[in-house]
Amino acid sequence: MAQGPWRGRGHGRLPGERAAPNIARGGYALAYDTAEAVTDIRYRLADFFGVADPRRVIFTPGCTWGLNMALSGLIKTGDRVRLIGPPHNAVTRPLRRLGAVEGGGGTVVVTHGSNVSGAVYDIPRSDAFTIVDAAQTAGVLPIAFDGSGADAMALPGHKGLMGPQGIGLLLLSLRMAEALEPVVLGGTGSYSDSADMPPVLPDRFEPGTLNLPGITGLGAALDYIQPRFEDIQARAQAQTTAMKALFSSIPGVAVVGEPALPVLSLDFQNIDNALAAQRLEEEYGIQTRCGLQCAPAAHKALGTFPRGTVRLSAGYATTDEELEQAARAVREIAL
Amino acid sequence: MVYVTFVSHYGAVRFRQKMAQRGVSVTLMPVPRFLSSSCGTCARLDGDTPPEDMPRDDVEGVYVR
Repeated sequence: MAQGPWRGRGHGRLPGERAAPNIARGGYALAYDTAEAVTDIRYRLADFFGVADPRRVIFTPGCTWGLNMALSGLIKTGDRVRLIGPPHNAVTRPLRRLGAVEGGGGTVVVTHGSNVSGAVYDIPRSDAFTIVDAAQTAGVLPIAFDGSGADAMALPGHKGLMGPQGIGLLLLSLRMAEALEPVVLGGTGSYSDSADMPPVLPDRFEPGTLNLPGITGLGAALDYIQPRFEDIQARAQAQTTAMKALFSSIPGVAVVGEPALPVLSLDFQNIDNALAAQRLEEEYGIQTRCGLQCAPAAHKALGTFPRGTVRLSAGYATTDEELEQAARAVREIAL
Repeated sequence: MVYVTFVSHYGAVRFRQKMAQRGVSVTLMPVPRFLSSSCGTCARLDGDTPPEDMPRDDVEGVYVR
């Protein structure tokens, strides 16, 4: 039995610290009020991402989960897949397991933004089903899902959206929602007398207990992002321009690819990249990610496989001065 | 008493929100077993007649008991 104080008043109130309701399960007011709060967040996310029907906004445990749900629920062994942009392992590993064949027509899978180089790839208009990995672009670039050409778009809550880890979204077009098979089956608190998953959204793709703390956190993050999203976009663009200018002219280090997001990979010429990353942290307090960034296909395309790169990324709060400090540190290490 | 059942929990929650906008208070509750064995959430309204302007989105059935 859930007990405890409520935070807020009226419908849509969220549980207080002593309560732990479960929506679509518990048959008590606190569960229904929490369900309403979740519905409100779903509505606001739909508005933010240009999805006309909030039921086509599916909560997931993260971007990788969303991609797996879309790929595994649609693609069958021998199906052809056309890849646009360098894919992350969250795409290539499921495709390999599924026995998909790269090339030709068939489902289109787009890496909207490379997590290695920061390059951005357009979503094509296609009659084929189009699945988009928006891990790097959600909350950074404006996304109007309906009409974008995408049929499924997976995105994380914890990157550009500034929410907590462990929560993500899968946005679905109507035709994808009708074609996609759920790959995780279980209780939904609805149609419980049926052996099949419910035919309705979002239940069909949301089995099991939802991550209510994650959803609530994502809602709070949206409170922050939405009123200043134009500024966030402008800031990301300015940071991208600044990073390219600061790091491209440093002797002994190469900027890999063509960043269009504030995500930039460096390939040190005179020092092992991992040693460079370690020195950046130990000597300058600059935290980076070194290696293949879970995207070996991107590195093969960029010519940095298997040595990988040192990736720098800037967030909304990263200042110009911090970027300049990072550039000075890289310059010293690269010599 | 009027019971309104829905195709999803989502529909039930939205129904309560829309009714609240009309100034009508409804109570969400588990679907009575004598109405359905599928579980889910229903809305209970006082009285013997559903409001004429009641939203019908996602409504599966309306029962007067």
